[in-house]
Formats: sequence, structure tokens, C-alpha cells
Amino acid sequence: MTRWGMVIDLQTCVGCHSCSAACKATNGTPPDIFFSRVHEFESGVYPKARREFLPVLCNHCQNPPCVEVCPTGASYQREDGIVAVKADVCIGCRSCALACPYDHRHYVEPGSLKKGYFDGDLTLYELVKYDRWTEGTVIKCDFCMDRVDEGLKPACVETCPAEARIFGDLADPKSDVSKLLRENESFTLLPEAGTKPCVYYIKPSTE
Amino acid sequence: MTPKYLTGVRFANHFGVLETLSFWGEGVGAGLFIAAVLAGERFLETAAIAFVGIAVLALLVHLGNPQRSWRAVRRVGNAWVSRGTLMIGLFLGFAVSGFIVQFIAPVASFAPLLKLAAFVCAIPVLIYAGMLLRSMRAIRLWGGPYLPLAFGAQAVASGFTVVWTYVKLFDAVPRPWLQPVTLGSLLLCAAFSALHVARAGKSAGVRASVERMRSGDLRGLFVIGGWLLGIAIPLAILTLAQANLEDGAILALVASFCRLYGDFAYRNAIVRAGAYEPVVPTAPYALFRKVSAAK
Amino acid sequence: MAEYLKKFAFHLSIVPNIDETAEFADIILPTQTQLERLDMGANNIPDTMGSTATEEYCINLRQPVVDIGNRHHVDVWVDIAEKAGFLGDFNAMVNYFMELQGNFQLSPERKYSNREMVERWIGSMSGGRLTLDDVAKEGRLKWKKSVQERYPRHFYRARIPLYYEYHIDAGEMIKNVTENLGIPWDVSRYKPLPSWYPGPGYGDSSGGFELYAVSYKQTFKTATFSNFNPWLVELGRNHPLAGKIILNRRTAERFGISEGERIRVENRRGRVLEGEVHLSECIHPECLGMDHNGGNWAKSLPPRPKGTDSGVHFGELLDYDMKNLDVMDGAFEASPKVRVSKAAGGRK
Repeated sequence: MTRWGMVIDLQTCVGCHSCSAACKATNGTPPDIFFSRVHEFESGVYPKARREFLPVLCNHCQNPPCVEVCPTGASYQREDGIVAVKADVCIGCRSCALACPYDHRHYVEPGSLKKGYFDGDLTLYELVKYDRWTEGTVIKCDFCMDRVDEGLKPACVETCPAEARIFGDLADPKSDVSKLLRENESFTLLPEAGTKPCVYYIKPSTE
Repeated sequence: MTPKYLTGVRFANHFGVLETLSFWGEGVGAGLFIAAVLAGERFLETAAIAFVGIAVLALLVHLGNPQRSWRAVRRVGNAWVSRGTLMIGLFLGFAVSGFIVQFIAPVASFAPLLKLAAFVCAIPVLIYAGMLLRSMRAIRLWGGPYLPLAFGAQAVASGFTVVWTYVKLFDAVPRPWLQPVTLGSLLLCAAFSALHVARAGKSAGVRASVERMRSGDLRGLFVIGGWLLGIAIPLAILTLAQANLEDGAILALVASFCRLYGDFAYRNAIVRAGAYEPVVPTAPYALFRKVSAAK
Repeated sequence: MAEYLKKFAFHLSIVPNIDETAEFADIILPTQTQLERLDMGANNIPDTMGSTATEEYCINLRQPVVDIGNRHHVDVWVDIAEKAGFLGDFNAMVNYFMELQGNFQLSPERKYSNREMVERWIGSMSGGRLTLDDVAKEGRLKWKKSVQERYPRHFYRARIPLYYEYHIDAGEMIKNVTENLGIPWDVSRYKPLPSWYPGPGYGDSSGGFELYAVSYKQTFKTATFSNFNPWLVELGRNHPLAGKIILNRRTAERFGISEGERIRVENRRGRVLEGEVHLSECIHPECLGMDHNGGNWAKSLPPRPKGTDSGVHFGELLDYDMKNLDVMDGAFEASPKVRVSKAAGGRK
């Protein structure tokens, strides 16, 4: 059985935010909603200091707390591990948003799809893309499952100029992601939360 | 910068005053119903239904798609929102039917049975908000057994304090057990509320939550509202009354108003202080930091 | 800049957005954005054509993804050229710049659309083998490099000179020209050997002007026109550095400045900008940094939350005068000395 997952190589990521932009372009998320984000911070003290980047997205956890607390069944996990939301079932209670330790659930505020980025003057692009979303519901990264089902990679992976994002089947020992995890030291975010994320990070260089 | 871009401790902002109003309404309503039934105060039983009604209204306003709210009971086996919605629905159903049938002679005999059913349903409603927050494992302040107990105790204390005030003001029939029970409920409320914070742990998120409630922007709600107005003042007034030092109607009213506001303030502080642990791990970067520090 | 633009007797802007320059225009003609345009060579040609690291030459074709009735700016210019009576010269210029060969050259008397010009360019580049439709299928025009093109150093007996004697001659020529014109011009830097000259503010920290202002670009923004893209603006709002003034943490402590405060940056000419400070360990203690992607004020910028702006405008700190000009390469001093203080408004 396939288990989709992602490996993000922090030795390679240059913090260009292309993933965030590609996600916006592909999914057309409403204002202030980013499924894919890049955290930036510094480590060290001048002159031995440097910028660090931590790209984040939904971890598509093996033990997703967002699915557990959903009262309607709108939040669900596919057999291949992708966690998604059925927009027509979600009542907008935001329990899932509260339960996610990574803040990867996003509430579409009522009125936000009519307002768009230009205060009500929706672009053609917005008119097409916002059709997918429902106001008053919670939306999230679904690993671009429509693309994945067609044999394509998620948009953030496809666009990454540094090839820092690698997508694949964690259950297949021959997949690129499995090989990378075998050959490199990796970690997941907030392992103590018990969520078992399927997004792994290859440790940044400490030199 | 939106909170989602923060890498350190992030305070949960998905729930706020509206959700607190809902938690408060259902808690106080259930607590009041239990206390009113035990004291035999029919008017307050009706008032309790109104409190829960306010809670349901706040809950519906909180929902993004209230027209689909019936779906909220679909996952009773897993989700506390489903359980709570079911219990609140059953409580309201039994309590309102009990209220109505008592005026309809042919079925009036069912009223006590319906009231008993409502009484039973009120117990899970008391702790529902606490259990819901507890199920959010990402927020450690809400973890452990003491938050549901504290929320439940708050609700019971509010219920008994209101009944005690009502009896003092409007009912000539003495109920000698009411005053010590109310006093006891306040002490229990203080104990569970204190235990909750004391046993919440020492993670970065919990420390930030407690700091915010103790000396940050939530101090007014938590310390002054929750503890001083909600517990200390009613406790002092009840103690004075117990010692027959003071027995004024105004003070009894003050005790109730302080208690009701304190209950709301406490819940609001707890809801707003909930924090997520820092998402950026320190471990992968630790070595680099050590090298820097050595130079 | 505003005063300078006001000096023009007539100003035409052909733009997809009414940007700051267009705000001063007498006439504005709308044109297509990149998503509406058909352009050949949309990529940065030196990166893909000149680099010896690639195995093939490659020119990308930008194809329209949407047609909402706007016109390509080339078509607008062709109309203007025709009506103003210089269509022949215009076509000759296109032939020259696009290096159109043989039958693919534009004839002086005919009016061509942008699409036709792209067609002809592809035809000319491919020696008639390819059409626009062929290239559109793959989205690019590419062809293999020869071995010589991939490894040029092996085939050329090139020398890199260390002594540029022609600099002496060039200096003399410039001296003659400027003396004849009566323009005072310093030619002392026209030396044949590499020399080092300090920047105008080097070593002078008097008056508290002790920091060098430096600028850089954000990875996700290009110049200031990215601020017309609301997604990138939104990204910038959530970026720890974008639009902010960066100061070394210890330097900031010395000035009593703390994270998030609004500070005032002033150059020696009294030009001032204000912005939010971000304290960092990743900047030299003697420098003050900011991106050069901010400062827009055009009315047609995408709506943004109250109290936010497009970031600081680095250009405000630069002085465009002879003192700050390098006479050899024409570059202006880009790291002016500045002093900082807390802004009157205090914390943002």
C-alpha cells in the first residue's frame, strides 16, 4: 500500500519561497492562507551566524489529530496517507485547526472569497480558483492530490529550483524518499506530539 | 506577520470570546439545572435552560456553516464536539419537554421522568467544554485530567451560588444544606483550578500560557476575573454568611454576579492562553550554536 | 525623482499597471501583463545562452494564458510608429535588433504585428525549419552547442591582460573632449594598473554617520514592480526581513534600538527614510541593510492592510552627483554613510 510522504533537504533549501508561490498559483488559496510556508530564522552569533530555512506544509501525519477531533467526518485520511477535507461536509467548527500542532489548517473566513485580493474586484484567476473553496469551512494542503492521482508531483515539489523537496512512496524501499531517509540523518517536526508526520527533514549542515 | 509564520510558541487563536460564551453558557446552565433541581427551584430550572440556549446560539454563530450543524453528531465515537452536541441536544430536549409537559394534564406525569433524564444529561454537559479542550493534544495547557474537572467545578460552583442567592432573596423556605454545599463547591472549584495550572507541565507552550495568564494581557481575566471575582469574593461572602457575620441581600447578589463573571473570565483566559509548542526544533541546529558560542 | 519627471513636456506610459512613473504621465495606454503576452526570449538569455555549463542553447517562448482584450506593447508601438510616420525606421530597427535574415526581414512599408515578428524571428533563428506553432508545442527553441561552443577556452589563444595601456589613451581622449566642452572632469583614475579608491564616505564617521547602508534583493521580488503582485506582497508581509531595516544586534544595542521599533536613517545630505528595524546576527556591525524592493506609493497597488506599506525605499539614501560617481564605469556609490536614530513615532 502506498504511503505518500515528502523529504525536505535543509542542506539544499535556499529559502526562495518558490514553493509558497507555486502552491498559491496551483491551489489559488484565498488571501492570508498559505498551505506551504517557509520559516526563516538565524542561528549563531556574528560573525559565525547564518540564516536558516524551514519549509513547512501539512505533515499528512500517520496519526492525524485533525481527523480524530472532526465531528462530521469532513476531515479524512485516504488509504495512501493523504489527509484532506470534504468541503461539502465541513461545518466550520475549527476543531481540526485547533488540534493541529503545526497550524496547517486554514479557516476560510466568510466573505473572504468575495473580497479576494482586490477588495471585491475578483480577477479571472480568482473567479476560477475560488470555485474550489467554500466560505466558512476549513481547508488544507492535500499534497496536490489531484495532481498526484494523475501521476504528477505536488506543485511545491515540481517548482523547487534547488530540488530540496522530494516526494514519493515511503512504503516503497526503492523510492527516492526511502533512500534519502536511509542515507541521511533526518527528523520530523514536534515528534513528541505523537502525530507521526510523513514530511521528513534532512538535517542542515552544521559547518 | 500572521501567527502562522511564527516559529516559537504560538497562541491558539481559533477559539475566542464567542466560543467561551458557548462553554460558559452550557456549563453554567448545566450546573444551575443540577443545583436548581436539587433545591427544587423551578424558576431557576427554566433559567438554566435559557443559559444553555444562549450557549447553543453562540455555538451556531461560531460555525462557518451552521445550516449543516446537524452533521456535528456524526462521530460520537471519536470526537468530543459530537459527544457534546449530542448531550447538549438531549439535555435541551428532555429539559424543554419536561417544562412543557408539566402544563399538559394528560402527560404531566412524565415531567419528573423527563427532568431526571435532563439531570443525567446535564452531568456530561458540565464537563464537555473541558473534555473538548483536553482532546486538543497539541495544546498542553489543556491536557491532563484537571481541566475538565476544573471546568465542571466552575459550572457547579456557579450553579449553586446562583441558587443560594435566589433562595436568599426570594424564597422563605430555609435549606440549611445549601450554604455549606455552595461553599464546598467554591472550594472544590478553587482546588481543581489551582491543580490544573500546577500540574499542566513545564513545556515552553505551557510556560508561555501561564505567564500570559499570571502577568501578561490575560492577567485581568484570569487573576482578577477568575480568581478574585469568581472565587475569592463569593467565597468571602459565603464564609461571612456561614459565620452569621453578614447576611445582606446585596452581598448575595454581588456573590452571584462576581461568580458568573468570574466563571466566564476564567474560561476565556484558559481558552485564549492555549499555546502550541515551538515548531522549529532546536536539536538540528544545536551543534552550530555550540560552535558559535565557543568563539 | 518626482521633480525630475515633472520637467518632461510630454510623457507617455504604456503599462499594465499605473506605477509610480505612470502617475506623472500625460497619457497612459494599457498593455498586457506577462500572463497575456506572446514573447520570444522571455528568459534571461545570458544565463541560458552564454553559459558554458549547458549543453544546448535555449530560448523560452512566453505564451499567453489568458486573453482579456489588452494589446501587446509592441503592437501599440507599431501603431504609434505608423501614425507618427516612422514605420520604416521602426521595422529597420527590428531587423537590426532581432538579427532577421533574408526573407524573414521586415519590409519598410508594411505594418507587422507582434505575433508576425515572433514568427519571423523563429523562422530566421531556425533557418526556416521551425514555425511559431512548432516552438509553442515545447515552449522553447533549443539547439545543441558545438564542442567549441561548450569548451571555448580550449579553442582560443586568449590572453588576459594585466596592463591596460588603452586606459591611458582613453583618459587622454576624454580629457580633450571635456576640456573642449568646458566640463571639469577628473581623469586621474584612467590608469593602466588596477587601483583601489575609497568610496566617498570611507573612513569618515563624523557627525554620527558611522554606518554603511547596503542593499540587496529579496529572492521572491524583482525591483519594485513585484509589489503589484498581491501574492508576493503577502509573502513579503510574512517575511522577517522584507521591507525592514536590518541592524546588527550589538550595534542596535549601542544606539538603544530594540527589535520592531521604527527608526530613522539619514544620509549626509539630510535625506531621510523611516522604517521598522529587524535586529540580526547576519549583518556586519558597521552596516545597515535593507532590500531595494520597497517604496512604492502608486494608487493602483493592490490593497493592503491598514498600517502597512511596501517597505523602505533604499534609493532615497543614494546621491546622484559627480562626487558619488565612479568616472571609470559610471556607477554611483551604492553604500552611502548613514546615521540612525529612533523615529519620532516610536514603536510601530
